Amino acid sequence: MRNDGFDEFVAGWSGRLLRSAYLLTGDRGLAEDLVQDVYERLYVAWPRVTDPAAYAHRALTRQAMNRWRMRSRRPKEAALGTEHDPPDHRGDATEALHERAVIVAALRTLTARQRAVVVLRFFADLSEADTAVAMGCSVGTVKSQTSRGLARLRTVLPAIDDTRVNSEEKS
Amino acid sequence: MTHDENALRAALTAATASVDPGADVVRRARDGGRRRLRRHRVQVGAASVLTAAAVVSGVVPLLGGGSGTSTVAPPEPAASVPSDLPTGVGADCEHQPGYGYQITPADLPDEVRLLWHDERLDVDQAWPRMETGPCSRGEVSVAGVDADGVIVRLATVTGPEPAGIVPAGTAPGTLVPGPEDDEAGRRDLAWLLPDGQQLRVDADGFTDAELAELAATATLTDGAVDLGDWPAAVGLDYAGEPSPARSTQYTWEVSGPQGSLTVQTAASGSIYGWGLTGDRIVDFGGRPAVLRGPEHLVWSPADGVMATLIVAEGLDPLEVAATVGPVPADDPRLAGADAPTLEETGTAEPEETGTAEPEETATPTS
Repeated sequence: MRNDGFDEFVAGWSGRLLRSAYLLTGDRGLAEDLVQDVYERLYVAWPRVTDPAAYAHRALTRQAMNRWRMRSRRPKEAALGTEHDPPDHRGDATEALHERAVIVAALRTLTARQRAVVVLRFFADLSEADTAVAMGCSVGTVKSQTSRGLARLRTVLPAIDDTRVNSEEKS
Repeated sequence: MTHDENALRAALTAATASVDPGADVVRRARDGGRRRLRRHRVQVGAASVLTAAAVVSGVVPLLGGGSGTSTVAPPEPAASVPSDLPTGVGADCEHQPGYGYQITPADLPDEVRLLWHDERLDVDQAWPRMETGPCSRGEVSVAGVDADGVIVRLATVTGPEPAGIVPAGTAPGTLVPGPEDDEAGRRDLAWLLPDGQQLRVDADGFTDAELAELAATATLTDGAVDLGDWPAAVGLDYAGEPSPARSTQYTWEVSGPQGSLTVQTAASGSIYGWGLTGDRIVDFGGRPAVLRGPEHLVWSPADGVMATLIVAEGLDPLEVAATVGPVPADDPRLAGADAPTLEETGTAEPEETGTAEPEETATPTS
Protein backbone atom coordinates (compact mmCIF):
# COMPACT_ATOMS: atom_id res chain seq x y z
CA MET A 1 0.00 0.00 0.00
CA ARG A 2 1.15 3.53 -0.81
CA ASN A 3 1.18 4.85 2.72
CA ASP A 4 1.98 1.78 4.78
CA GLY A 5 3.49 2.85 8.07
CA PHE A 6 2.19 6.43 7.94
CA ASP A 7 -0.36 5.95 10.71
CA GLU A 8 2.22 4.29 12.92
CA PHE A 9 4.65 7.12 12.35
CA VAL A 10 2.05 9.75 13.26
CA ALA A 11 0.99 7.84 16.36
CA GLY A 12 4.57 7.45 17.50
CA TRP A 13 5.87 10.94 16.78
CA SER A 14 2.90 13.24 17.34
CA GLY A 15 3.80 14.11 20.90
CA ARG A 16 7.41 14.99 20.16
CA LEU A 17 6.63 16.94 17.03
CA LEU A 18 3.79 18.87 18.64
CA ARG A 19 5.96 19.80 21.62
CA SER A 20 8.78 20.90 19.34
CA ALA A 21 6.31 22.98 17.36
CA TYR A 22 4.98 24.51 20.55
CA LEU A 23 8.45 25.56 21.62
CA LEU A 24 9.18 26.91 18.15
CA THR A 25 6.02 29.01 18.00
CA GLY A 26 4.95 29.62 21.59
CA ASP A 27 1.34 29.01 20.63
CA ARG A 28 -0.61 25.77 20.83
CA GLY A 29 -2.85 26.59 17.88
CA LEU A 30 0.05 27.52 15.65
CA ALA A 31 1.84 24.38 16.72
CA GLU A 32 -1.11 22.21 15.79
CA ASP A 33 -1.43 23.95 12.44
CA LEU A 34 2.24 23.43 11.71
CA VAL A 35 2.26 19.76 12.65
CA GLN A 36 -0.89 19.07 10.67
CA ASP A 37 0.65 20.75 7.65
CA VAL A 38 3.79 18.66 8.07
CA TYR A 39 1.74 15.47 8.19
CA GLU A 40 -0.08 16.39 5.00
CA ARG A 41 3.18 17.09 3.20
CA LEU A 42 4.63 13.88 4.54
CA TYR A 43 1.61 11.89 3.38
CA VAL A 44 2.04 13.11 -0.17
CA ALA A 45 5.79 12.49 -0.13
CA TRP A 46 5.62 9.24 1.85
CA PRO A 47 6.65 6.77 -0.91
CA ARG A 48 9.90 8.64 -1.57
CA VAL A 49 10.76 9.53 2.01
CA THR A 50 13.42 7.30 3.52
CA ASP A 51 13.63 8.97 6.94
CA PRO A 52 10.20 10.30 7.96
CA ALA A 53 11.45 11.78 11.23
CA ALA A 54 14.16 13.77 9.46
CA TYR A 55 11.66 14.91 6.85
CA ALA A 56 9.20 15.96 9.55
CA HIS A 57 11.79 17.92 11.50
CA ARG A 58 13.01 19.61 8.36
CA ALA A 59 9.50 20.57 7.25
CA LEU A 60 8.49 21.62 10.74
CA THR A 61 11.53 23.84 11.20
CA ARG A 62 11.19 25.39 7.79
CA GLN A 63 7.52 26.10 8.26
CA ALA A 64 8.05 27.52 11.74
CA MET A 65 10.77 29.86 10.54
CA ASN A 66 8.83 30.97 7.49
CA ARG A 67 5.32 30.95 8.84
CA TRP A 68 5.05 34.68 9.13
CA ARG A 69 5.66 35.11 5.43
CA MET A 70 3.53 32.17 4.42
CA ARG A 71 0.76 32.26 6.95
CA SER A 72 -1.85 33.98 4.84
CA ARG A 73 -1.46 32.31 1.51
CA ARG A 74 -1.59 28.61 2.20
CA PRO A 75 -5.21 27.73 2.82
CA LYS A 76 -5.59 25.48 5.81
CA GLU A 77 -7.62 22.34 5.81
CA ALA A 78 -9.44 23.39 8.94
CA ALA A 79 -11.73 20.93 10.63
CA LEU A 80 -14.66 21.28 12.92
CA GLY A 81 -14.13 20.65 16.60
CA THR A 82 -10.44 21.44 16.86
CA GLU A 83 -8.95 19.44 19.68
CA HIS A 84 -7.01 21.21 22.36
CA ASP A 85 -5.24 20.19 25.46
CA PRO A 86 -7.33 18.94 28.33
CA PRO A 87 -6.85 20.83 31.59
CA ASP A 88 -3.72 19.90 33.46
CA HIS A 89 -4.92 18.16 36.61
CA ARG A 90 -1.53 17.32 38.04
CA GLY A 91 -0.95 18.32 41.60
CA ASP A 92 1.81 20.70 40.61
CA ALA A 93 -0.03 22.05 37.59
CA THR A 94 0.21 25.65 38.70
CA GLU A 95 3.94 25.49 39.06
CA ALA A 96 4.20 23.66 35.76
CA LEU A 97 2.26 26.43 34.06
CA HIS A 98 4.60 28.99 35.56
CA GLU A 99 7.62 27.06 34.36
CA ARG A 100 6.16 26.88 30.90
CA ALA A 101 5.46 30.61 30.83
CA VAL A 102 9.03 31.33 31.87
CA ILE A 103 10.48 29.09 29.18
CA VAL A 104 8.18 30.42 26.47
CA ALA A 105 9.00 33.99 27.39
CA ALA A 106 12.71 33.18 27.28
CA LEU A 107 12.47 31.50 23.89
CA ARG A 108 10.60 34.51 22.59
CA THR A 109 13.69 36.64 23.05
CA LEU A 110 15.66 34.52 20.56
CA THR A 111 15.77 34.98 16.84
CA ALA A 112 14.00 32.37 14.75
CA ARG A 113 17.24 30.58 13.94
CA GLN A 114 18.50 30.66 17.49
CA ARG A 115 15.18 29.30 18.70
CA ALA A 116 15.28 26.56 16.09
CA VAL A 117 18.74 25.35 17.08
CA VAL A 118 17.86 25.41 20.75
CA VAL A 119 14.70 23.38 20.21
CA LEU A 120 16.23 20.94 17.74
CA ARG A 121 19.44 20.41 19.71
CA PHE A 122 18.18 20.45 23.27
CA PHE A 123 14.59 19.26 22.97
CA ALA A 124 14.41 17.12 19.84
CA ASP A 125 17.92 15.81 20.60
CA LEU A 126 19.14 16.14 17.04
CA SER A 127 22.86 16.12 16.38
CA GLU A 128 24.54 19.24 15.03
CA ALA A 129 24.62 17.63 11.60
CA ASP A 130 20.94 16.68 11.67
CA THR A 131 20.06 20.13 12.97
CA ALA A 132 21.93 21.66 10.07
CA VAL A 133 19.99 19.50 7.62
CA ALA A 134 16.69 20.40 9.27
CA MET A 135 17.47 24.11 9.10
CA GLY A 136 19.06 24.04 5.69
CA CYS A 137 22.30 25.57 6.87
CA SER A 138 25.87 24.55 7.64
CA VAL A 139 27.07 22.86 10.81
CA GLY A 140 29.12 25.96 11.44
CA THR A 141 25.96 28.05 11.44
CA VAL A 142 24.37 25.63 13.88
CA LYS A 143 27.37 26.00 16.19
CA SER A 144 27.35 29.78 16.03
CA GLN A 145 23.59 30.05 16.45
CA THR A 146 23.71 27.61 19.35
CA SER A 147 26.39 29.64 21.06
CA ARG A 148 24.48 32.87 20.62
CA GLY A 149 21.18 31.33 21.62
CA LEU A 150 22.58 29.84 24.81
CA ALA A 151 24.31 33.08 25.66
CA ARG A 152 21.06 34.92 25.24
CA LEU A 153 19.13 32.39 27.30
CA ARG A 154 21.61 32.67 30.14
CA THR A 155 20.87 36.38 30.35
CA VAL A 156 17.09 36.08 30.26
CA LEU A 157 16.83 32.79 32.10
CA PRO A 158 19.27 33.12 34.96
CA ALA A 159 17.57 30.33 36.80
CA ILE A 160 18.41 27.89 34.06
CA ASP A 161 20.76 26.05 36.40
CA ASP A 162 18.15 25.95 39.08
CA THR A 163 15.03 25.24 37.06
CA ARG A 164 13.27 22.70 39.13
CA VAL A 165 12.19 19.70 37.15
CA ASN A 166 10.94 16.66 38.86
CA SER A 167 11.35 13.24 37.42
CA GLU A 168 7.65 12.82 36.70
CA GLU A 169 7.62 15.81 34.38
CA LYS A 170 10.61 14.46 32.52
CA SER A 171 8.92 11.19 31.77
CA MET B 1 27.44 18.35 27.72
CA THR B 2 27.56 21.23 30.17
CA HIS B 3 25.43 21.58 33.24
CA ASP B 4 23.38 24.45 31.87
CA GLU B 5 22.70 22.54 28.66
CA ASN B 6 21.35 19.68 30.68
CA ALA B 7 19.29 22.11 32.73
CA LEU B 8 17.95 23.58 29.50
CA ARG B 9 16.98 20.13 28.23
CA ALA B 10 15.11 19.47 31.44
CA ALA B 11 13.41 22.85 31.37
CA LEU B 12 12.25 22.42 27.77
CA THR B 13 10.92 18.98 28.59
CA ALA B 14 9.09 20.22 31.65
CA ALA B 15 7.63 23.15 29.75
CA THR B 16 5.91 20.80 27.31
CA ALA B 17 5.01 18.02 29.70
CA SER B 18 1.28 18.42 29.21
CA VAL B 19 1.32 19.34 25.53
CA ASP B 20 -0.26 16.25 24.06
CA PRO B 21 -1.80 15.69 20.64
CA GLY B 22 -5.52 15.13 20.31
CA ALA B 23 -6.94 11.66 20.35
CA ASP B 24 -7.79 11.77 16.66
CA VAL B 25 -4.41 13.00 15.46
CA VAL B 26 -3.83 9.97 13.26
CA ARG B 27 -7.17 10.30 11.52
CA ARG B 28 -6.72 14.03 10.98
CA ALA B 29 -3.22 13.54 9.61
CA ARG B 30 -4.36 10.80 7.26
CA ASP B 31 -7.48 12.63 6.09
CA GLY B 32 -5.58 15.85 5.54
CA GLY B 33 -2.88 13.99 3.63
CA ARG B 34 -5.46 12.32 1.44
CA ARG B 35 -7.11 15.64 0.67
CA ARG B 36 -3.81 17.17 -0.30
CA LEU B 37 -2.90 14.18 -2.41
CA ARG B 38 -6.29 14.25 -4.08
CA ARG B 39 -5.84 17.90 -4.99
CA HIS B 40 -2.46 17.06 -6.37
CA ARG B 41 -3.86 14.36 -8.61
CA VAL B 42 -7.23 15.57 -9.76
CA GLN B 43 -7.38 19.32 -9.84
CA VAL B 44 -9.70 19.42 -12.82
CA GLY B 45 -11.98 16.75 -11.43
CA ALA B 46 -12.26 18.62 -8.16
CA ALA B 47 -13.31 21.73 -10.00
CA SER B 48 -16.19 20.02 -11.74
CA VAL B 49 -17.39 18.40 -8.52
CA LEU B 50 -17.37 21.69 -6.68
CA THR B 51 -19.17 23.36 -9.53
CA ALA B 52 -21.93 20.83 -9.33
CA ALA B 53 -22.17 21.22 -5.58
CA ALA B 54 -22.43 24.97 -5.86
CA VAL B 55 -25.08 24.76 -8.54
CA VAL B 56 -27.13 22.43 -6.36
CA SER B 57 -26.93 24.90 -3.49
CA GLY B 58 -28.12 27.72 -5.75
CA VAL B 59 -25.00 29.81 -5.47
CA VAL B 60 -24.61 32.44 -8.12
CA PRO B 61 -21.13 33.07 -9.49
CA LEU B 62 -19.91 36.64 -9.46
CA LEU B 63 -18.76 36.30 -13.03
CA GLY B 64 -19.69 34.00 -15.83
CA GLY B 65 -22.79 32.02 -16.65
CA GLY B 66 -25.25 31.69 -13.74
CA SER B 67 -28.70 33.10 -14.09
CA GLY B 68 -30.08 32.75 -10.57
CA THR B 69 -30.75 35.63 -8.26
CA SER B 70 -30.00 34.17 -4.86
CA THR B 71 -27.19 36.54 -4.02
CA VAL B 72 -26.83 36.68 -0.26
CA ALA B 73 -26.63 40.06 1.37
CA PRO B 74 -24.32 40.13 4.38
CA PRO B 75 -24.57 42.72 7.10
CA GLU B 76 -22.77 45.97 6.50
CA PRO B 77 -19.07 45.25 6.20
CA ALA B 78 -17.27 45.86 9.44
CA ALA B 79 -15.28 48.56 7.70
CA SER B 80 -17.67 50.92 9.45
CA VAL B 81 -16.37 49.65 12.77
CA PRO B 82 -13.69 51.94 14.15
CA SER B 83 -10.35 50.49 13.17
CA ASP B 84 -7.96 50.78 16.06
CA LEU B 85 -5.28 48.24 15.36
CA PRO B 86 -2.33 48.65 17.67
CA THR B 87 1.24 49.07 16.59
CA GLY B 88 2.62 47.02 13.78
CA VAL B 89 0.38 48.17 10.94
CA GLY B 90 0.86 50.80 8.30
CA ALA B 91 3.64 53.08 7.25
CA ASP B 92 5.24 53.08 10.69
CA CYS B 93 5.30 49.29 10.86
CA GLU B 94 8.31 48.04 12.80
CA HIS B 95 9.85 44.59 12.85
CA GLN B 96 8.94 42.50 15.87
CA PRO B 97 10.22 39.11 16.97
CA GLY B 98 8.13 36.28 15.57
CA TYR B 99 6.14 34.59 18.28
CA GLY B 100 2.67 33.94 19.62
CA TYR B 101 0.88 35.59 22.52
CA GLN B 102 -2.04 34.70 24.72
CA ILE B 103 -4.65 37.45 24.84
CA THR B 104 -8.28 37.87 25.87
CA PRO B 105 -11.28 38.63 23.65
CA ALA B 106 -11.26 42.21 24.91
CA ASP B 107 -7.75 42.65 23.49
CA LEU B 108 -8.96 41.97 19.96
CA PRO B 109 -9.71 44.80 17.52
CA ASP B 110 -13.48 45.18 17.11
CA GLU B 111 -13.35 44.25 13.43
CA VAL B 112 -11.78 40.90 14.31
CA ARG B 113 -14.02 39.95 17.24
CA LEU B 114 -16.93 38.71 15.11
CA LEU B 115 -19.54 36.03 15.67
CA TRP B 116 -22.53 34.58 13.92
CA HIS B 117 -25.91 35.90 15.03
CA ASP B 118 -27.75 32.71 14.22
CA GLU B 119 -29.52 30.73 16.94
CA ARG B 120 -28.91 27.49 15.10
CA LEU B 121 -25.21 27.64 15.90
CA ASP B 122 -23.78 27.24 19.39
CA VAL B 123 -20.43 28.44 20.69
CA ASP B 124 -18.34 25.97 22.64
CA GLN B 125 -14.92 27.50 22.24
CA ALA B 126 -13.64 31.02 21.73
CA TRP B 127 -9.96 31.58 21.25
CA PRO B 128 -8.23 34.93 20.69
CA ARG B 129 -4.59 34.96 19.67
CA MET B 130 -1.96 37.43 18.66
CA GLU B 131 1.23 36.80 16.75
CA THR B 132 4.05 39.14 15.89
CA GLY B 133 6.76 38.94 13.27
CA PRO B 134 8.94 40.95 10.96
CA CYS B 135 7.21 43.74 9.12
CA SER B 136 5.53 42.21 6.12
CA ARG B 137 4.77 44.36 3.13
CA GLY B 138 2.06 41.99 2.16
CA GLU B 139 1.18 40.29 -1.04
CA VAL B 140 -0.94 40.57 -4.14
CA SER B 141 -3.25 37.80 -5.27
CA VAL B 142 -4.88 37.29 -8.64
CA ALA B 143 -7.32 34.70 -9.91
CA GLY B 144 -8.80 33.46 -13.14
CA VAL B 145 -12.15 31.68 -13.24
CA ASP B 146 -14.10 29.66 -15.75
CA ALA B 147 -17.62 30.43 -16.95
CA ASP B 148 -19.09 29.02 -13.75
CA GLY B 149 -16.92 31.09 -11.45
CA VAL B 150 -14.67 28.19 -10.56
CA ILE B 151 -11.07 29.18 -9.96
CA VAL B 152 -8.80 27.67 -12.58
CA ARG B 153 -5.74 29.85 -12.08
CA LEU B 154 -4.33 31.44 -8.96
CA ALA B 155 -1.18 33.37 -8.18
CA THR B 156 0.02 35.13 -5.07
CA VAL B 157 3.11 37.30 -5.25
CA THR B 158 4.87 38.05 -1.98
CA GLY B 159 7.68 40.40 -1.14
CA PRO B 160 9.87 42.25 -1.39
CA GLU B 161 12.16 40.39 0.94
CA PRO B 162 15.88 39.80 1.26
CA ALA B 163 17.13 37.25 -1.24
CA GLY B 164 16.94 33.84 0.37
CA ILE B 165 16.13 31.48 -2.46
CA VAL B 166 17.73 33.13 -5.44
CA PRO B 167 21.53 32.81 -5.36
CA ALA B 168 23.54 35.98 -5.29
CA GLY B 169 24.62 37.09 -8.73
CA THR B 170 21.56 35.71 -10.49
CA ALA B 171 20.26 38.02 -13.17
CA PRO B 172 17.12 39.97 -12.20
CA GLY B 173 13.95 38.31 -13.43
CA THR B 174 15.45 34.83 -13.59
CA LEU B 175 13.00 32.37 -12.05
CA VAL B 176 14.44 30.04 -9.43
CA PRO B 177 12.40 27.16 -7.95
CA GLY B 178 11.61 27.46 -4.27
CA PRO B 179 11.55 24.58 -1.80
CA GLU B 180 7.85 23.93 -2.40
CA ASP B 181 7.92 24.03 -6.17
CA ASP B 182 5.65 21.43 -7.78
CA GLU B 183 4.22 20.43 -4.41
CA ALA B 184 0.52 19.66 -4.72
CA GLY B 185 0.70 20.86 -8.30
CA ARG B 186 1.62 24.42 -7.38
CA ARG B 187 4.61 26.42 -8.54
CA ASP B 188 6.87 28.09 -5.99
CA LEU B 189 9.26 30.42 -7.79
CA ALA B 190 11.41 33.36 -6.81
CA TRP B 191 13.35 36.01 -8.67
CA LEU B 192 15.36 39.13 -7.98
CA LEU B 193 14.42 42.70 -8.69
CA PRO B 194 17.10 45.01 -10.08
CA ASP B 195 17.77 46.32 -6.56
CA GLY B 196 18.57 42.81 -5.31
CA GLN B 197 15.38 42.26 -3.35
CA GLN B 198 13.46 39.06 -3.92
CA LEU B 199 9.88 38.48 -5.03
CA ARG B 200 8.20 35.10 -4.84
CA VAL B 201 5.12 33.64 -6.45
CA ASP B 202 2.89 30.77 -5.40
CA ALA B 203 1.09 29.94 -8.63
CA ASP B 204 -1.30 27.36 -9.93
CA GLY B 205 -2.45 26.99 -13.51
CA PHE B 206 0.07 29.19 -15.31
CA THR B 207 2.52 28.32 -18.05
CA ASP B 208 6.25 28.86 -17.65
CA ALA B 209 6.05 31.63 -20.23
CA GLU B 210 3.33 33.44 -18.29
CA LEU B 211 5.33 33.24 -15.08
CA ALA B 212 8.44 34.47 -16.85
CA GLU B 213 6.40 37.40 -18.08
CA LEU B 214 5.27 38.05 -14.53
CA ALA B 215 8.87 38.19 -13.36
CA ALA B 216 9.69 40.60 -16.15
CA THR B 217 6.70 42.83 -15.40
CA ALA B 218 6.41 43.02 -11.61
CA THR B 219 7.87 46.10 -9.97
CA LEU B 220 7.56 47.95 -6.67
CA THR B 221 5.38 50.97 -6.15
CA ASP B 222 5.87 52.71 -2.80
CA GLY B 223 7.55 49.54 -1.58
CA ALA B 224 4.64 47.26 -2.46
CA VAL B 225 4.36 44.74 -5.27
CA ASP B 226 2.90 46.17 -8.47
CA LEU B 227 1.98 43.61 -11.13
CA GLY B 228 1.42 46.25 -13.77
CA ASP B 229 -0.60 45.02 -16.71
CA TRP B 230 0.31 41.37 -16.23
CA PRO B 231 -3.11 40.28 -14.86
CA ALA B 232 -4.87 41.76 -17.88
CA ALA B 233 -2.28 40.45 -20.29
CA VAL B 234 -2.85 36.87 -19.18
CA GLY B 235 -6.61 37.27 -18.99
CA LEU B 236 -7.21 37.13 -15.25
CA ASP B 237 -10.62 38.11 -13.91
CA TYR B 238 -9.64 39.25 -10.43
CA ALA B 239 -6.67 41.18 -9.11
CA GLY B 240 -6.27 42.21 -5.49
CA GLU B 241 -4.59 45.23 -4.05
CA PRO B 242 -1.56 45.19 -1.77
CA SER B 243 -2.38 45.93 1.85
CA PRO B 244 -0.43 48.03 4.36
CA ALA B 245 2.69 46.60 5.91
CA ARG B 246 1.99 44.62 9.05
CA SER B 247 3.95 42.99 11.85
CA THR B 248 1.07 42.06 14.18
CA GLN B 249 -1.58 39.53 13.39
CA TYR B 250 -4.72 38.88 15.42
CA THR B 251 -6.63 35.63 15.13
CA TRP B 252 -10.03 34.87 16.58
CA GLU B 253 -11.46 31.38 16.45
CA VAL B 254 -14.92 30.41 17.63
CA SER B 255 -16.39 26.98 17.16
CA GLY B 256 -19.26 24.78 18.14
CA PRO B 257 -20.93 21.59 16.98
CA GLN B 258 -22.53 23.29 14.00
CA GLY B 259 -19.64 25.34 12.71
CA SER B 260 -16.42 27.25 13.19
CA LEU B 261 -15.41 30.80 12.38
CA THR B 262 -11.84 32.05 12.08
CA VAL B 263 -11.21 35.76 11.68
CA GLN B 264 -7.76 37.23 11.33
CA THR B 265 -5.95 40.32 10.28
CA ALA B 266 -4.03 39.52 7.15
CA ALA B 267 -1.27 40.88 5.02
CA SER B 268 -3.19 39.87 1.97
CA GLY B 269 -5.19 42.63 0.37
CA SER B 270 -7.53 40.21 -1.34
CA ILE B 271 -9.21 36.90 -0.75
CA TYR B 272 -7.81 35.10 -3.78
CA GLY B 273 -4.67 34.06 -1.99
CA TRP B 274 -6.93 32.11 0.35
CA GLY B 275 -8.36 30.01 -2.41
CA LEU B 276 -7.40 26.88 -4.24
CA THR B 277 -8.04 25.95 -7.82
CA GLY B 278 -11.42 24.27 -7.84
CA ASP B 279 -12.85 26.75 -5.33
CA ARG B 280 -15.56 29.04 -6.57
CA ILE B 281 -15.76 32.83 -6.43
CA VAL B 282 -19.25 33.97 -5.52
CA ASP B 283 -21.00 37.22 -4.87
CA PHE B 284 -21.39 37.96 -1.17
CA GLY B 285 -23.21 41.23 -0.77
CA GLY B 286 -21.55 42.71 -3.82
CA ARG B 287 -18.07 41.61 -2.80
CA PRO B 288 -16.25 38.48 -3.95
CA ALA B 289 -15.98 35.52 -1.61
CA VAL B 290 -14.35 32.11 -2.00
CA LEU B 291 -16.60 29.08 -1.63
CA ARG B 292 -14.99 25.66 -1.15
CA GLY B 293 -17.41 22.80 -1.42
CA PRO B 294 -20.81 23.23 0.18
CA GLU B 295 -19.59 24.18 3.65
CA HIS B 296 -16.52 26.43 3.51
CA LEU B 297 -16.59 30.19 2.82
CA VAL B 298 -13.84 32.80 2.92
CA TRP B 299 -14.62 36.49 2.70
CA SER B 300 -13.27 39.84 3.81
CA PRO B 301 -15.56 41.48 6.36
CA ALA B 302 -13.33 44.56 6.55
CA ASP B 303 -10.21 45.87 4.88
CA GLY B 304 -7.25 43.79 5.99
CA VAL B 305 -9.45 41.23 7.75
CA MET B 306 -10.23 37.72 6.50
CA ALA B 307 -12.98 35.44 7.78
CA THR B 308 -13.30 31.71 7.20
CA LEU B 309 -16.54 29.95 8.05
CA ILE B 310 -17.07 26.20 8.00
CA VAL B 311 -20.53 24.88 8.74
CA ALA B 312 -21.92 21.45 9.37
CA GLU B 313 -23.87 19.55 6.76
CA GLY B 314 -27.31 21.00 6.25
CA LEU B 315 -26.31 24.61 6.86
CA ASP B 316 -25.60 27.11 4.11
CA PRO B 317 -22.33 28.96 4.76
CA LEU B 318 -23.50 32.01 2.82
CA GLU B 319 -26.66 32.20 4.89
CA VAL B 320 -24.76 31.88 8.17
CA ALA B 321 -22.04 34.28 7.04
CA ALA B 322 -24.69 36.89 6.35
CA THR B 323 -25.37 36.96 10.08
CA VAL B 324 -21.73 37.36 11.11
CA GLY B 325 -20.99 40.68 12.74
CA PRO B 326 -19.20 42.35 15.65
CA VAL B 327 -19.77 40.90 19.11
CA PRO B 328 -18.95 42.48 22.47
CA ALA B 329 -16.18 40.84 24.47
CA ASP B 330 -18.63 40.28 27.31
CA ASP B 331 -21.29 38.62 25.17
CA PRO B 332 -22.86 35.77 27.18
CA ARG B 333 -22.10 33.28 24.44
CA LEU B 334 -18.42 34.05 24.73
CA ALA B 335 -18.50 34.09 28.50
CA GLY B 336 -19.84 30.55 28.43
CA ALA B 337 -17.26 29.30 25.98
CA ASP B 338 -14.07 27.54 26.87
CA ALA B 339 -10.79 29.23 26.15
CA PRO B 340 -8.75 26.24 25.06
CA THR B 341 -5.38 27.60 26.04
CA LEU B 342 -2.61 25.91 27.87
CA GLU B 343 -1.91 28.85 30.11
CA GLU B 344 -5.27 29.44 31.69
CA THR B 345 -4.19 32.74 33.17
CA GLY B 346 -6.44 34.86 30.97
CA THR B 347 -3.78 37.50 30.58
CA ALA B 348 -1.28 38.41 27.97
CA GLU B 349 2.11 36.86 28.26
CA PRO B 350 5.09 39.05 29.09
CA GLU B 351 6.06 41.56 26.48
CA GLU B 352 9.07 41.13 24.30
CA THR B 353 12.42 41.88 25.76
CA GLY B 354 14.62 40.79 22.89
CA THR B 355 15.88 42.74 19.95
CA ALA B 356 13.52 42.76 17.05
CA GLU B 357 15.04 40.95 14.13
CA PRO B 358 13.49 39.90 10.84
CA GLU B 359 12.89 36.22 10.36
CA GLU B 360 15.46 34.68 8.12
CA THR B 361 14.42 32.71 5.10
CA ALA B 362 15.35 29.07 5.30
CA THR B 363 16.20 27.35 2.07
CA PRO B 364 16.25 23.64 2.79
CA THR B 365 15.10 21.22 0.18
CA SER B 366 12.42 18.67 0.80
